[in-house]
Amino acid sequence: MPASTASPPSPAPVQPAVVPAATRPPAPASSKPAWQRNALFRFLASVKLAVVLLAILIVASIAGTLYETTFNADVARAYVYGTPWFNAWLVLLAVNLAAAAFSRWPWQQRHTGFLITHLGIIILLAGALLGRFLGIEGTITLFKNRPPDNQLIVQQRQLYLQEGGAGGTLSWPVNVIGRRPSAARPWRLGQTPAGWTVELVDYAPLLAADFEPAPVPSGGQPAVRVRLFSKRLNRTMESWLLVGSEEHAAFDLGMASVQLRAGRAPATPEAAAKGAVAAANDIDESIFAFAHKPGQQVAQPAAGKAGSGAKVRLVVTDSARQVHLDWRGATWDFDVEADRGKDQDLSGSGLTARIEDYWPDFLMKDGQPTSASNEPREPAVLVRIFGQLAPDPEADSLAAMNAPSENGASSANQATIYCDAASGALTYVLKSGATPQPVVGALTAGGPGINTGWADWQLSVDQSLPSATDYTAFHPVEGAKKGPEAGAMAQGNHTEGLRVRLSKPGSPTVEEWVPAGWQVALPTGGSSAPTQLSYGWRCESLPIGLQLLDFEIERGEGSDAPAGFKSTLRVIDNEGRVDSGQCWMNNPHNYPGHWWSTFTGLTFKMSQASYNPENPNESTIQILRDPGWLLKWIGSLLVCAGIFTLFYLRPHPVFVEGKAPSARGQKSSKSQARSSKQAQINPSSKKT
Amino acid sequence: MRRALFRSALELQAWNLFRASSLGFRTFLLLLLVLLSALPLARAELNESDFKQWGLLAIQDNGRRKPVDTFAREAILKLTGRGTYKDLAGRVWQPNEFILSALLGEAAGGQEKDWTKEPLLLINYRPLVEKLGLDRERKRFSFDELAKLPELNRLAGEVHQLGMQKAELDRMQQEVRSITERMTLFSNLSRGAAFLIVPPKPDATIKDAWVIPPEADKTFGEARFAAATEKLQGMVGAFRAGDAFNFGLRARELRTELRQLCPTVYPTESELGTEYFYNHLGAFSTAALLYALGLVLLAAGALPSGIARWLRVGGVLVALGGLLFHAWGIGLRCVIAGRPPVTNMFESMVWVAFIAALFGFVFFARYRSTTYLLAALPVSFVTVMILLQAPAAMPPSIDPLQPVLRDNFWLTIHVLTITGSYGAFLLGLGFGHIVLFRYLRDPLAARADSALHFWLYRVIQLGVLMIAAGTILGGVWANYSWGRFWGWDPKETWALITLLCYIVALHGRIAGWWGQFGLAVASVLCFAAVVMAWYGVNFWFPSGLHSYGRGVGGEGWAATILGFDLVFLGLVICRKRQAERPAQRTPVPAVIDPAEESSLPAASV
Repeated sequence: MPASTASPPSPAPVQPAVVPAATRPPAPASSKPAWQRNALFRFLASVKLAVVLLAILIVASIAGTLYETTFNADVARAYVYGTPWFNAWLVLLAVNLAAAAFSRWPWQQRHTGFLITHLGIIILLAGALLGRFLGIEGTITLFKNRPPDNQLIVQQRQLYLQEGGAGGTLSWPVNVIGRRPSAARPWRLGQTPAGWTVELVDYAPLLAADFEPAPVPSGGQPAVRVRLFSKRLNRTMESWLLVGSEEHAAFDLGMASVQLRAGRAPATPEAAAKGAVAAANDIDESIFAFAHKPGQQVAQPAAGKAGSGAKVRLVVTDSARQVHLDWRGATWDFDVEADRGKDQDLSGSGLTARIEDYWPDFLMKDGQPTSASNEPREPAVLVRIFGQLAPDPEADSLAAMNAPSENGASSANQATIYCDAASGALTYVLKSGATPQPVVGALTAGGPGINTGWADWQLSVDQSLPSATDYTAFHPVEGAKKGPEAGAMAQGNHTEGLRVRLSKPGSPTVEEWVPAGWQVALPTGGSSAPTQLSYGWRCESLPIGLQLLDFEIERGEGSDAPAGFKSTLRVIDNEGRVDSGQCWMNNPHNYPGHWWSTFTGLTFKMSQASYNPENPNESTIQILRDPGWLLKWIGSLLVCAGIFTLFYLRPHPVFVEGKAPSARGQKSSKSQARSSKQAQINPSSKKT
Repeated sequence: MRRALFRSALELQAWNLFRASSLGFRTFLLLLLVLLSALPLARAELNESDFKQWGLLAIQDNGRRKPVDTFAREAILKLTGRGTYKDLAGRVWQPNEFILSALLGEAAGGQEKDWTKEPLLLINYRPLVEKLGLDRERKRFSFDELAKLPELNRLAGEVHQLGMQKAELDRMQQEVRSITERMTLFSNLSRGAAFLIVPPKPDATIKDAWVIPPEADKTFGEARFAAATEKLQGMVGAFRAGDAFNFGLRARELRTELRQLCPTVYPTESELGTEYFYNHLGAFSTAALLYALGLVLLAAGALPSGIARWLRVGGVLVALGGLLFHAWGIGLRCVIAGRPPVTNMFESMVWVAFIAALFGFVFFARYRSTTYLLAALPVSFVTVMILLQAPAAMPPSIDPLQPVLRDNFWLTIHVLTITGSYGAFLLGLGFGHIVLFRYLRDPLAARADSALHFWLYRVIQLGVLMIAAGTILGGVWANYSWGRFWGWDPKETWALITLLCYIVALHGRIAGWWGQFGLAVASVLCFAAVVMAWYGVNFWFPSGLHSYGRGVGGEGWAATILGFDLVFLGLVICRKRQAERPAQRTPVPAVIDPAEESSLPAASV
């Protein structure tokens, strides 16, 4: 036996009670009130329940972190932390803690630590619940020199509906993480004043927007659906073209382009050639080239002029910045420093090139190219090529074919389709690098295609609409990541969306996809204005308005990487009080700023949330109001103090090496400590 | 001829002296002779200490001004994954000489050295080596070998694109990015672009980017920079000539010149000197060594022998020395970085190992049980050794802080408390193993040793208090800084899980489901939660607001160690059951105050 336990136990604290707590019979009935002997109360107060509750809390939290890392925080919230059962579990835990505390009634001094700890946890949980249900959390994106904004964006999806006739906007919260509507089980949201029933019949994590002109009886523009097919490449490309549309008047394949015009093609090839060549030979083009993205130049012909088809490469090394210009098999080299602003004759071509500008760290700012710094992070150069091209029927069409130009207007290969608005007749002018003369002909929608002469591409028209209008159709992207996990993701032009159905007895039912961030109009009955639907974040009006006075970005030592952001804000409330302050990383601004407001959490706390690297006049502020703040504070303090009291201020037996167990606070004797050290280290040998 | 005569006369005298001297003095003389002969009289090569003045030049790198010595260490570590480099000819290169030689393409003394042919660059991921079609048995490749791989070029382009889109990278892409960074660093070294050793302009602030010497003419003017240029050339010339004296002299003069150009931003002599001293002190490896030595002495002292007591006293003193070295290293790091050292994996491991050892000593002082030291020393030693063995995964560099972590008192307190609790639990892990080992040897005797269980219980208590306080402080700080008290971020959730695990262990004992033995098992088992909260979240859960101290790798090791521990636990539990079978099977209850269950120490009967 160790020396410590061999000696007789000291009197008070070390009572040899041998029965484990939970299996202990209840104290004599006389000392316990009836409510403490109630079976349900004893169950709720039992430490076994506490262990089970905690264990399941552990498992749930682990599951939550796994969800978070596999998918994202929203999914974790929807499946674990935000679910009713998780909250119910926490409430049950609070009940268990309270019951455990009352089971000790009447309380004695030795219960102090235990009571403080349990009370602290209950207060903490109460504060969390209060903050959760009465608190406000959201963001406002502010811009400099704008009037005050009080629309808080809350991280919750909402469907908005506005009927054409009746004024107000209806809205419903929509939470599709975890469960989704379907045609078989639609979600009924409600009814509009005009009697339309609003239902959700589907949800898509990713919707693609397709340009699809819709026919109109009058007032439209011609539209055709063209198809290009290459047997050799086994590739088909299809696209709608609409006259007058900004983005969809032409279709660019890279090595060639197809465009649509209203009217009729010139009657003869000669007339067409003249017009086309004249246009194609008058060149004036500005090309942006980026050192880090060779092959991604941005070219823009001047109005009414043609592009050159030249390729510009920018090569930046530590010592030199060189521009290489490739055009029809020839290459010219320029030095950015030496040749900047000087006209350079591209010998033999009739063209002139000029390096207009150079940016070491290219950035579009307020629509103007600028340089964010002098570090060569994103070097870019602007080259202008202009002049009259000498007619060159032998232009190397193959080269043009193989080197896809990204400038959108390849001069060599071009088809222009003409659609006559009155008759719907289709004619075309086809220009190919392989044939000197343009070809003129007629096409029929759905008819046989024409051989373009650009490799083996066949051009045909699938459908033509003499009068059509701009319309965008949405469809879910097939093969997109299934399940709720993709819910909050938006990739490129794709976005999530809801399929909304409006139905009313006696009227045709209408259904449409409503993508997040779009406004969709649904025709609901005859001449009245259509119903507007939109799907986006929930907005809340705050009683205060915010203005961004200034926004600063602080840089790190010796670098241009942002190290901190600071917004200067002006706060205006509805009683006309004005306040201003700054918020930056770890330093929120509070309004109202009295100490008692901040202390109780009855204040709007504004923190720097994010910023837009492309717009230095924009800043996103997080706004938080948490009425549970004081309770959380007090609870936290109590928990820490309680655990400390429990562990360190309560009387308990103490074992000091070489001493009999004693109550806390008794001094150990040194000589005893020394004498038995040997025995303690080598326990098996000390059994004597 | 005269010199030869003189020399032989000297030798004769020495020999006579040697013969005449006593045995002890003879040994001393022999030793002296051996030592002296090791000192070469004229050297063509410079040794590590000759590079001190070069290493004391200031350089701006990675958002901080630091001595070239630090830069060189970080560079060689980043390139090769090791602290030194052994070249194809078998010569070992120290960091300072390596970077100067990489810049000049010459070794000291002037011979040519083509570093592009040296297999320096580490690819620490075999699937990538195979994908690139390289020799799968090798881990390091030369710049020339890698530069001619079109596949690597293509992958690097892909990763660059993904980086621009801020997309998450998988392991292969991360490794591609690492190797690209290594190649860039190597090319910056050999082209000289990395040597930003000149402050940018006379009125520069600390935010301004420094420049390389050839560019300094532009901002300072040739006349003003001429002196520095001359010293620089002198230094390079001395290096080429293998002239150690002038090399050091010119480097020191160059430093003085550069400081004069812009005294406000150039680090002071003491700043540079402190960091150089820290680099060369090896505080943590010395601490680990002393811990190991102390442990051996204490273990030897635990066996019965005549000098057992003196062995123990010696062990405690040696271990205390280790603790002092450990504290010294941490203190120097604080001085250099100007902040508490708990912001990356290296620093937090150093800190946790220190706290475990410190708590071991505190408990030892309070309860006079050397078991605390026997528990603390191995865990601290192992933690520091893991750290020193994996410099590539956990680089020891001192980096500027993430903006979110700057200037915050509460944050510092929160992080120190949380990591302090890891230290306490680490001590608990060591102590738990000792207790379980005792159960393995003799379950009944171990069961009867109440003091042992009480001591372990005290450690767990301390850990629980600290992690509860640290987690709550984290909430308070998050509410202040991020605007919310609790956001179920992986790091904070795992801190909570850890706390709950230990609380379940404590309450389960009160519920009578397990006893003091269960607590010993829990002290080992629950440490898995600490590992998860500490290493797992940093390395495997890249998302979240606590995303600093990131790294990759080590899963295999963690799983292996955990596996061994589980087997060990299984063995102990079997052994205990076996031993208890003939007797009653009822669990041994804790001493319970009838009216009060919680938090009583175990004292079995």
